[in-house]
Amino acid sequence: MADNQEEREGRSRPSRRPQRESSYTRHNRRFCEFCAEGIEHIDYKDIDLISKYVTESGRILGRSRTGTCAKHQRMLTRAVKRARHLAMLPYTAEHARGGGAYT
Amino acid sequence: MRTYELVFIAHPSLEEEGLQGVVDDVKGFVTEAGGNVVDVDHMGRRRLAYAIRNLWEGYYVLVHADLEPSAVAGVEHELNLREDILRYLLIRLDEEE
Repeated sequence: MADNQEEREGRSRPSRRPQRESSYTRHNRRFCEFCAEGIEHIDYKDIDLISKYVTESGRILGRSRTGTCAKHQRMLTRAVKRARHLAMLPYTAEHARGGGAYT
Repeated sequence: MRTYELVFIAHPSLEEEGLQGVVDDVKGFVTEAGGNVVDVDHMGRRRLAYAIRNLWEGYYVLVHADLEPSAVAGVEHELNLREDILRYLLIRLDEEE
């Protein structure tokens, strides 16, 4: 990812969508943290790790926000869904409060 | 034979002795289905992220077992019948590690 970005900026030819990327997105998109750590498998029981990739309301953060690569995002998504099934993570914040139609 | 990972949440009112009974029953399901239990890990009494049957706590137990793929449905059936097991997750382990 980072290499591509440098390459794009190095050329004088304008790239396809530089203006559409806000500084916020670009700042957050760096590299895949799982690749950097050399993680081969994301364990759904590792709540401390997984909860970093979930919002307060319980939604999974997108790749554009975290910089995770496609392969690890798939693993992460699966891990989050398994953890939710086992009530280790909430499906939604409302659900976690015991409200709504799910109780 | 494949290795499977089972995590189940047992009813919080069981206490330690009752929990041991449930764990023994679950081991029995596996062995009766022609499998063998590799490992049992008590993850302890934990708070649930949301209420299941109006309960906010449960005993988490992790079991690793070798099972014939055709025997999995039978084990799941037994687990479904248990009222003292709030929830379980039974997944194949070998493809991922």
